[in-house]
Order: sequence, then C-alpha cells, then structure tokens
Amino acid sequence: SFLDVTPKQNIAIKDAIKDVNSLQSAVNGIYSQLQNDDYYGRTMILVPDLMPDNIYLSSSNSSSIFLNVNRFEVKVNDSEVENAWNVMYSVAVNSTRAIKGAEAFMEADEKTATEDAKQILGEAYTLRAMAHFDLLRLFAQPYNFTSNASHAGVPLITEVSDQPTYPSRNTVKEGYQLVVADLTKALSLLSEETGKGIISINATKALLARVYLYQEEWTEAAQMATEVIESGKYALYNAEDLPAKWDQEFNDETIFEIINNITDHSGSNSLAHFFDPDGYAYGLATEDLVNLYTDQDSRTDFFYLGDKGNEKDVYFVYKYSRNSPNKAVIQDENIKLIRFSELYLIRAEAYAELANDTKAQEDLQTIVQRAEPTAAPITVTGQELKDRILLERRKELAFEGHRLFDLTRKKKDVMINRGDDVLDIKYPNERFIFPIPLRELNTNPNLEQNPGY
Amino acid sequence: IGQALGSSSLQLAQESNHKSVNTVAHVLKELEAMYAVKFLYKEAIANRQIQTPQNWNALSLQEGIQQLQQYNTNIQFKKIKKNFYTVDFRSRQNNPSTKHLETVALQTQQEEKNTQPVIRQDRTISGKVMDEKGLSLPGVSIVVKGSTNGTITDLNGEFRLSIPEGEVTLVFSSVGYVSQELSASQESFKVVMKEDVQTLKEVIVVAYNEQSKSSFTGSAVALDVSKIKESPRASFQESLQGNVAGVQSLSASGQPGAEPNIRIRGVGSINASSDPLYVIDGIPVVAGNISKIATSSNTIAGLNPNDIESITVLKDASATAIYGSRAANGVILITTKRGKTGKTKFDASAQYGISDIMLADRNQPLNTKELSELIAEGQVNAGMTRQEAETFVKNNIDSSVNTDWVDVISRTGKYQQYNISASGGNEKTNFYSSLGYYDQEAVIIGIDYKKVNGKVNVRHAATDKLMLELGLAANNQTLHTNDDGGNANNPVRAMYRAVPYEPVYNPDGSYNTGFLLTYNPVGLVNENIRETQLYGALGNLGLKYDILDNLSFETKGSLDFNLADEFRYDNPYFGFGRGNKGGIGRAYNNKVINWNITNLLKYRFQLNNDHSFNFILGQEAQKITRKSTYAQAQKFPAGQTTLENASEIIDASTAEIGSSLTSYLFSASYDFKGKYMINISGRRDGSSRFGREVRFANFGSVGFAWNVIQEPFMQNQKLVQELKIRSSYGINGNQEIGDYSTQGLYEPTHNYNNFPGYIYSQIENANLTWEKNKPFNVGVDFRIFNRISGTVEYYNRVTSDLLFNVPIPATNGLTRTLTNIGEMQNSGWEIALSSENIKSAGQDGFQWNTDFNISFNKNEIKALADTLPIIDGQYIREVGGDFYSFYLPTYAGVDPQTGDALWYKVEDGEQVPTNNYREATYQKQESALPKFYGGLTNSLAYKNFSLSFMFYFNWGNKIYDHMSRYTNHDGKLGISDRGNLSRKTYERRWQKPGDITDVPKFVFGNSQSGDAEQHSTRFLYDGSYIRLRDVTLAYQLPQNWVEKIHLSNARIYVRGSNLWTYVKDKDLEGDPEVGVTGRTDFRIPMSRQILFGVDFSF
Repeated sequence: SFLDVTPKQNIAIKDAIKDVNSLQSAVNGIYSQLQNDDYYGRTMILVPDLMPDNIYLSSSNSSSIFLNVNRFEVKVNDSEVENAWNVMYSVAVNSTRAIKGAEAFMEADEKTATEDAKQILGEAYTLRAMAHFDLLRLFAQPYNFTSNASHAGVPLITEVSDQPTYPSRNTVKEGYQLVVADLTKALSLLSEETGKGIISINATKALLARVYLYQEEWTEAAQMATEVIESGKYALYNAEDLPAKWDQEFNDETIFEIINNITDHSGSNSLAHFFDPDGYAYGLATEDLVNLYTDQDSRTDFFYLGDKGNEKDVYFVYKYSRNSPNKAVIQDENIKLIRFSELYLIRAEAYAELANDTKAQEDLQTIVQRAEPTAAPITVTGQELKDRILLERRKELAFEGHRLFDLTRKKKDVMINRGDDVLDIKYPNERFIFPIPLRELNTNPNLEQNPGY
Repeated sequence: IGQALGSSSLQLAQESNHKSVNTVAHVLKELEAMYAVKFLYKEAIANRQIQTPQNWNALSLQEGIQQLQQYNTNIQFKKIKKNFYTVDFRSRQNNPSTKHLETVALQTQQEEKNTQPVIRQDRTISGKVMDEKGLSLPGVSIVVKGSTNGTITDLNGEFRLSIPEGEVTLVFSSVGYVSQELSASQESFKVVMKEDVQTLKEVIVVAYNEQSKSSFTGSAVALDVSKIKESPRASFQESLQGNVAGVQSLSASGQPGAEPNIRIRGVGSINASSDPLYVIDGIPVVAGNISKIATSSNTIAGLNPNDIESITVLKDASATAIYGSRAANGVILITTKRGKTGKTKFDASAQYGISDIMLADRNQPLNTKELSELIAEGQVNAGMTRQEAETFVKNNIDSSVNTDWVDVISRTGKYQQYNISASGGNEKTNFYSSLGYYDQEAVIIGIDYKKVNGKVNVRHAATDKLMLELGLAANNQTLHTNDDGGNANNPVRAMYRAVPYEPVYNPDGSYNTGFLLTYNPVGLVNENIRETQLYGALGNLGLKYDILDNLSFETKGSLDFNLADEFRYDNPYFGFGRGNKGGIGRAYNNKVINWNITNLLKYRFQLNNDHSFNFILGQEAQKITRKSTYAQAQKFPAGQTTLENASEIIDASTAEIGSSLTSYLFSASYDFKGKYMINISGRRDGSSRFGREVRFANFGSVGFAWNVIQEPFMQNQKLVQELKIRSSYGINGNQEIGDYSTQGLYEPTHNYNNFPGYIYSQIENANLTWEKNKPFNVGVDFRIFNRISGTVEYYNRVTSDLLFNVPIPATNGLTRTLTNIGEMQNSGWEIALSSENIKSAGQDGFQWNTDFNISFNKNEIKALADTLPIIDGQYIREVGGDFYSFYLPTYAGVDPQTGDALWYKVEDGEQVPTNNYREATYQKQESALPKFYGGLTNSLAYKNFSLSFMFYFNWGNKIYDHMSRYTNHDGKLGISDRGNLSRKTYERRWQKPGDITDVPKFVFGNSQSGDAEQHSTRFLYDGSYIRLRDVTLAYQLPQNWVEKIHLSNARIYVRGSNLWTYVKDKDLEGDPEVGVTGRTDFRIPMSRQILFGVDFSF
C-alpha cells in the first residue's frame, strides 16, 4: 500500500537471508564484527596478555584506557568490558540468524543447498562457536573450575526472536557442549579448500582442538591437532624467517586471520596503534617476559628497546607494527587468530597430560628449536615437562591473547612484579574473569552477576 | 420560464430557427430570476431589441450568455464578480474594456414589473478612488444610500454615476477597507479608502482556510510582514525574533544562510524534532539543513521574504490539530503574494550594507608581548628562575612577529540585496512575479552566501465557477562555509587560539604551515574549496470549483524539490589533505523530493442570520524521498579539482530513504451571532514511519470563543472596543522519528575483504508510534481606550510518548530499541500589546505606535525511560528538571594563598572546596532556557519621515562557554601554537599571595587547574541580554517629485541591525546569542550591520 515503504539501503529482515548471495553478505557482516577493536581488533588479543604478566601500560596512557584491566580493578561499568560483551553477542546473534535463515531456505528448496551455501553455513556455525567460547573465557571461570563445569557460564544464543528476550545464564558445561556441537556441525558442512581469511575446515579443527584443551579432553585435543598438523597445508618458519615473515598476510603459519583493508581498520583504536612506538605505544612488554628469551632466540626480534615520552629504556612490542610498508597506515594489518605453532603446543600439552612424554617432548622441541636452533633438546618429563610447555606457550604465543586463559585453566596464580609494584593474584580468584556488564544486568533481570562484583 | 417567455410580448423572429426577440431589459430580468444573477447596464440600452434563444431550459447561464453573444454580435457580457455581470454593446470607436462601465444602472429583481429606465437621470457625478498609498482601487462599490442605484469603479479606480437631485449620500465600500459615506455635494470626487486595520476584523490565514480573526477560536499570530520586508536576513525565520510572542528564533551562528532554531512554546521533544511544520501556500515543505558540508544551511531561506504576503504562527490545538502528526511543535503558515486586478505595477528595491563582528571587544586575544609575559610568569610559577624563564621565552618565541589573528581572519562584511516584482491582472487573470538577488559576505574570511530567487503566481478564472491557481518558485543558494567548534579547519578557532608570534606567511611569501598542524587559516581559505549549492523549486497547481454558492471543492498538487550539490577539496600541501599527493576531492549530492496532494470540500451556510456554520472536509497524501550520492577521489593534476581528473577513487556511495503519509481531515465551526464560537477539528493520519500495529492515529481539538463585546451589557461603555475570550484543548503529534525506525532491519557497510556485508541493526517495533502533544490554551484578545490592543494567553502543553532509545540486553544482538516513553511539559504566559500612543488626524501628523510582547515558558521533564537521569555532555535530564539544565562541578574561585583553582566537592551534604578537580562533584546548575524573552518595537512617523526601532530581550538563562577551557588554559598548553589566551586570563590572573581574583595562577604546563576535562561553572555565564536589533529611518519622497520621474512611489532608508547590546554578565567572552542549547563554541560570530536602501514603484 501507499504506506508500505521498503527501505532502500537498509535491508528488511525478510530479505536479509533468503539465498546463498544474501547469506554470504550476512556472514561477511559477522566477519566484519570480528575486526571490531572491542573484539579481535584489540580487546580479545590484548586483555589476556595485559591482565597477567606479559604487558603493562605506559605512563603516557592519558586516556586511562584498559587501566582497570591492567590493575585487576575492572568495574561493572567499564566500557571495554561492556563493548566486548556487546560485540560478541552481536556475533552470536548474527550467526544464529544466518544459521536459521540458511537452514530455512535450504529446507524449503533442496536445490539451494549447494556446496557454496553449505560452506557459508558452516562458517556461521564456527563463528557462533567462537563468540560463545570467547564469552565463556572472558566472563566465566574456566571449565575445570568445578568438577562438572556446573558453574555459571553465559547466556547461549540458539534461537532468533523478533521481540527482545531476557535469557539467563547457562552453565559452563552447557556452553562448551554448544561450542563443541557447533564446531562439529561446521566440520560436516565446510569444504577443504578455502582462503585463510575465512573459516576453513582446518581452522575449525584447530579451534576445536583448542576447545578440547580447555575442557581437558586430551585425546580429542591431540587428535584434532594432529589432523591439522598432518593436513599438509601449513608449515613452520625457521628461526631466520620467523620474525620477518610473521606479519605477512596469509603466511605459511596462519590458519585463520581476520582481514583488515584500508577502509575498515580501526585506526588509532587498532591493536597495532596500541603497541606501535609511532602510535600510542600504551602496551609495553614486561621485562619479566623479555628476560625469558635467550639472546639466540629469534623471537627477541618482537621486542625493541627504546624511549617514548617519560618511558625510558622500555620494550616496545613489535609483533603488530613492524615491517609495515607504509608507517602511516599501519593499522590495516590482518589479525592472526589461529597459528600453526599453537597446534604443536596443544598436542604437546595433550600428550604430556596423557603421560606420553616422548611425543610431548618432540612437539615442544619443534617449537623451541625452530625459534632457537641451538637450544638444548627437551629432556624434562612429568610435571616439569608440563610447566615447560606452559612456559613455551607464553613465549611463542605472547601478545596473541592466550596467557590469562593458560594460567587460569592450569589453576596458576598471576604474579606481576614491576619494581615496587607487586601483584600476586591467587588462583582461584573472582577477579580472573570480567563482571557481567552493569548495563546488561540493568536491562535483564534474569542475569546474575559474577561473585565479587 | 419558457411559458413566461411565451406569454410575454415577444415578436416572432423573421428567421426560421429557434430565436425570439425582446428588449434587453426584459431578457436580463428573466435571466436574473432564473439564475440568481445580477446584471448592470446603461439605461440607454434597456429598450434595445435583441435576439434570444427561444428556450432557456436546456441552457446553463454560461451557454445562455454565449448564445446571446452569438445572436447579437455586439453585445458584451463581462463578469465582475460571482453572479454579477455588466452588459454593454460594443461600439467600434471605444475601447471595449473600460467604456462600457461608464454610466450604468443597477437593476435588481425587486423592480421586475418595470421595463422602464430604473433611475431618473438627474445629474452626473464622477471621481476616482485610491488607497492610502495613492494607488487606484478598482472594484469599489458606490451606492446611493437608501437606494439600489450604484456602480463600481473601473480598472483605473474611476467611476461615473447618475444620481437624483437633492441631498444624496454615497456609500463607498470594498473588502478590506473601511466603508465611507460621503455627501454628493460636488461633481467630482477624489476618495481615499483606508485599510481596515481593526485587529479583530482582520482576516487571517489559518489551516486550510482564511478566517476572520474575531471568529477564530485558536491561538494564531499573524506577523506584520512589513517587519520582514526590509530585513537583511536570509530567511524570514530570523525576523520572527522578538516579533511574535511564544516564538523563539535563535541563531547559533553568524554564518549567513544558517538555520536558526525556531521553538514555538518551548522544546517539545527529546529525541525527535522540536521544529515547527512550515506550510507555504498550503504545501507542507521540507525545512532545515539538507547539506553535508555546511555546518548549517536552511532550505526555508530559499523563500524570498519579499515574496511573502502573510505569515501566521499557529500555536494551540485549535489552530494546529488539523495538521495532526506533524503539528506538535506548532505550524508556521506562509502565503506568497498574488497579483491584484489593475494596471501592472512594478516594485523595486535595492539595499547595500556593511557589517563587522558584534561585541568583538569582549575578548581581544593577546599580542606577542603579553603572551610572552604570561609564559615567562608561568615558567617562574612552574619552578624556573626569572633568568631561565626569560631565556626560555627568548628561545621559543620570536618577539619580532606579532600577528593580530583577529585582524587577519575577520573582515568588514559586505551585503547587498536587489528585488524587483511585477504584478497585475484583469478580471479573469492576475499574476505576481518577482526576481531577487541577495549577497552577503560574512565578517570572517572565506564565509559568504548568495541567493537568487524567482517566483510566479498566476490565478485564472477559467469560468465563473472554476479558478486555476499556479505557483512556481525557484531558488539557488550558494554557501561557502567552514567547519566550526574545535575543528582544525575552523578560522574562528584560529582567531582566538593561534599564537601571535606565528606569522601568516613565511619570509619567502609562502604560507606558514609550521603551526596549527599545518592548518594555516588564510591558506585554507585560499587553497581549499567548500561550496554548498542549494537548489529549491516549489511548484503547485490548484483548482477551485464552486459547486454552489456556498459549496466549493479545492484540489492542489505540489512538488517541493530540494537539492544540495556540494563539493569539498583539500589541497595536498597543508591542512586535512597534507601528505596526500595531489589533493582530496569529495562531492555530495542530496535530493529531497516532497510530493503533496490536497483535496478539500468546503461548505458553509447560515440560518436566520444568527447561526453560521462552516465545514471543511479534506484528504491529503504526502510522499518524501531523500536520495544522496557521495564520491571521494584523490590525486589531482595541479590546478584541477573536478573528480574526473582524480586518479584514485576512494569511495562512492548512494543512499535512499523515504516516507509516506496519508490523511483525512475535517473542521466544523459554528458561530452564533458573532458572539459564541465553537470549532471542532480532527485528523486521521497514517504514516509509513510507524509500526504496523499503530499505523493510523486520530488527532483533534475543540475550541471555544466568546466575543464578550457583542453582549448587550457591553454596549453602553466606551472603555473597551474589543473583548474576546477563547480556549482550546486537543491533541496533535510528532512523527519525526526517522523513516524506518519501526522496521526490523539489517544495516549495510559491514563489509569484509572488499565484499559486501551487513548486520542485524534494528529490532522490529510494531508498536512504535508518534509522540503525542496535548496543548491547552486560554486567551483574551482586547482593545481598550481606542488605542491599546493586545492578547494575553496561558498555555500548558504536555508531550507524552516521547521517543527514547531504551536499552535492551545485548544478548539480542542489539543494545537499544526505540520506545514511546517519557513525558515533558511546557507551560507559560504570553502577552502581546500594541499601543497607538499618539495618533494624528491627518496623514502628515505625528504618529507613535508601540508593540510589545513577552513570553514566559517553563519546561519540565515529567517522565523518562529510566528513573536515572540522562547525562548528556554538560546537561542533565531528570524528572522534575528542565531539558537544558547544565550539569557541571561548581567553581569555588581561586585560593588567595596559593592561586589554585578550587571546585566544590560534596561531602556529607556539605560543599567543601578542593583544588583537585577529580574530587569535584558534578552538580545540577541552572538552565540554558530563558525565564522570559520578548520584543519592544516603537514606530514613529512625521510627515515623510518614519523611524522604527526594536529591542529584543532574553533574560534569565545560562550560557556555557565550551571553548573557554582552551582560551583560559592557565598554562596547561605550555608553548603550544594553539595556546593563545583570553584577555581575562591576562588581566585577572592570580599573581601573588593575597590576590583576590577568579582566574587562577598561570603555571606553565599546569595540571592543577588546567586539567583538560575541567568543565565547571567557571565558564558558565549569565545569558541575559537586551539588544537593539533593528532600527530603520526612512524618508518617503514627496509625491510631486516622484511623479516627475514617472514613479508612483519612492522611499529611501537607512537600517541598522544589532547596533547595541546590553550584556548582563560582564565576564562573558562573546556574543550572548548562542542558539537554543546555550552553548557557545567557536562559531561564525554575530555581526552588526548598517545598510542603505531604496524602494520604488512604478
């Protein structure tokens, strides 16, 4: 009728996901959410290394951004926390809408269930799993916090609604069950060959290996890692190439990375700007971390000793800002979410936990010696081996968003030693996880806050 | 009738066809009886024989007249007005258009038995009728009192009439003029008709109609358009300031062509618009800023104020409810000029003026010597020895340079305006046409405005029942603007913040780009392009058909076309485009197309002369489409700026949104003996913008008026001439919520890897609907002592269902959804008075009139989405508070011992001073809304001179100086090239223990009082002011001079705007007129203007 005006540039919900092309656009939208600086664009990579002992904040951080995170003083209304929650749920909801929409049109007409459509649907499943997994990691205690993972997780999104809904929190166990189910479902839909800028079958397997590791499902973790390692699609760089090639796009070690191009990077809110001495350089590497590397370790190239403002002789992080062809637009780097070396470390840890120390040593040594060829062979066993693997994870995956979760799932304390400033946060601790944002609690009476907030 | 004709003394025609022959008098009498018409003819022709159709039954009046003209080639019928014709026989020598009117007799039905000449011709008188300006008045009726004998004036205002001998009184009357009775004692007359100015007799333009003011039940103010005619302002809206009670017109910027904030009876919405609806010649038009580049632009400024015939501001429910969902913030009706029957008249006017910055002396930035002195002192206060400080200044400040940035960036503004119009017409067709040119250079370099207008209104009576109306207006506005506020491009920011020791040019003549992040303000004006072209076209075609004498049908279709065509270019060397090899060009194109169709049925009737009824039934439909295009490219060859020349395309996009509205409306009025009036109106609107469950809504009003003066008990007093009490209540709405706010949507631009992507962006809200506004109004209109007339009104309007973006759990994938919640109230008093202080009988005597109006409005938020207050920048919105209440820490002055700035923190309910800004407590402060505002105009005239001057006053509000944090930085900015300071800092800073002042110690690199976030009441000022806004001194050239140069009228005048301002707060560092939000910023300053003008007609 005269009063039914169809939007021209916004898309009416009924038209948003109705065939493979529109599904592709809806899923592209989800990927673009991962670029967000409140998600993988910065927060999700930075926070797990900033909270414990890998990164500290420069005194020039005048806007006090992430200051509360760094001091274990996160408040219920901190915007970094609220924004991360919001964008992760946006990914979960958009993925669910894509899944429901795609399944509806495929069911209505079987011919639409093409390989392409199934691939995109698989991506949506993996993306939903990623969002839920990350929400669980940030806002809930680790899987092994209680014996049956019955402690509070996060609300899980599996349905779409045209009315506002007010879900309550599921348990962590239910959360991991959904994550594993989504990833498993994705594996049945995804095809072998895809670029590294979108979810592939191997990216999904790698993610599943990571999830199993957090669940302490060692056999499954090892098996998934093996499948990726043996896929033949990835390779580890040698010590000489590693620093130089690390930030190349789609390099041999990348399994999945988020593509940023010149029009959609986060600019000064980006991860690179946060570390870059020519940018904010608010995030500096702790001496504690730098001292872990021997001089022969090629990974020391990821640090640079220098001055900026009042900060003299500090270690800048060069993992995200070095070698950019044009210093002025360094913010458009792709963000690596899953790298090949992590798979060796996952498998090493799984083998060690399964008391298969020989194989564990082998995988660990692969990672240690490719960075430092002259390093002594790994000979430790038992708990020492497990600790050595955890240490190597810290060194290999520094500034990639793993450290806090590795400590908490291993029930370790966080020990920060910064001159006079000593923080000793004992496990278990309510402060290891974020509070449910105040805004969310205010709008949803069914939510319970995490203890301690 | 056929029988009647047959039985009369007709002679059979010799021809065989169906004709008969009779006398003119007889035939016309028959026609008068049959068609209820009147004919006027010379008695000399009464007995002429004419051929007539035999049977009139099958013929309409028109067909009958046609046949008569066919059969009798010389006979002429001329329609003078509805159901009134003149009849004559064409003679070859005479000019047929006028001569036939010369001496005629008025024949009426009462004289049906008489076929003889009606009036005995005893003597003949003649004369000319003119208006007060000396222009001839056609169509004035002249009747011998006590008889039906009379005539009307011809196109030249002349008449001849035969009257009986003896004492005869003539009655001259015409609509819009005071009737006059004159004794016919002479043979030749010169009669001047005075315009009927009695206020309550006025006919005013109201919604979908015109109505006498005395019978109107609503609150409507007709603005005296002579007040806007000579205004140098781009839009008529700016001239509303101080002239209409209850209307605030506030300019936030001195940029010519900027859109002023118009608020009728307060701020009516929080998240939707608070602007009124503008209706031009019955067409609801697109108003506001449609530009992307210009800080502000105004489609309404495309309307030439000189083309305006009338402006009516509708304020209450009775006046506005018939506009339904668009009327919550009031309605402004504009009609444009039409031609008048008569000889073609030309009016021309020219104005030329100059302007400078208003109140520039309130803040003169420091020169190099003064700033050096401060910086040295700041270094000493920061711990250096005097010697070290001097060395520091020597090393960092080039004392040989002393740039006066105010002088560099400001200039004398130039203004000129030229208008010419032609209007005229005959009995069937009239026209008005005009052409205007307006050109204003602002007081800041690079800022200017030009406008060209063209306008045609044509009205044509196709038949005696069918009237055609055609209107076409086109305009082009050209704006050169710049960014405002804290933007580096802003020249005003540079004026107050650039340090004086930086030169404009390097010694080699190139621009100095070694400061202000390379944004050299002079270089930017010369090397960059920021051009906004606005095009507007408003076309309409209307038909009016008189079905019956008291029943008519009107239909009107219109197109309101608005286009903003804009271009921005940033040079590659400095400013925004620096580092980019070859410049950046951006083109914007934004079209707003507004179609509107209105159909109206109007019916009126009277019972026993006591009961009058008036009905309007209508239907309306509107569709608005907004389409925009954007393109950005870079790397141009030297000297080229069109995008085609660029080698790298960066961005291109188009967007389109639209909305539609369909409506049904009615109005019913009843008037008993002119004493008691009641009006009921209603409207049903359906809008595409609203949720499918609530797409239609009903609006309406009821209004009463009691014309007390008509009561018998008022007849025996002389004190009061007019007294009317009226009241109304009703409901209208506000649909300005965005085009698709109710629909479930995905949003584009979330692209990935250069492939398109979109995300879920809006939850469907099927129940989202208009904001509802319920105005109550009561008012008294009066005139006393035959001198003072006025209106006093009280109103109370409650706006409910205010739109809020209500938070929802993010687990929905979205964080907010628009919901109808919240309530706000505006209530207040309005008083408008007009006084004829001195009246002289003659036209040349001394005259002194005073107009005064004052408005008090109180705004109160009654309900919000949340019980928590909304903190929005420096404002707090909470239940019980008003919408523009400031929210700032309270400044406690300066510690006389240490020179530290102090603020209050609240501890256990006590206000405790602290020198740590972070400890200061944010507190609710006073509001940006004035307690009252208004205008006072005095008009004086003596002989050919006239003088008028208008004061505007605005009282009791607060202004927050948003940029004082930078211009009063107390040393925080150190040696920054944006670190120049206000004169107040220099003159009043704390220097030694014991100094009592409100400006803290100047400390280089200060972090105590110079904290970047230090919003506080230190920069909150009293916004009260009184301004001499307009002064006009005019001289009307004597008529005998004027006629010598073949003009009919000529006038010269000098006019000043904003000549004088009283600002209550002596500390305010700029102009107190800052827009409705009460926030100063670095905007184009207001200017003071003097102009010379000349008007003439011929």
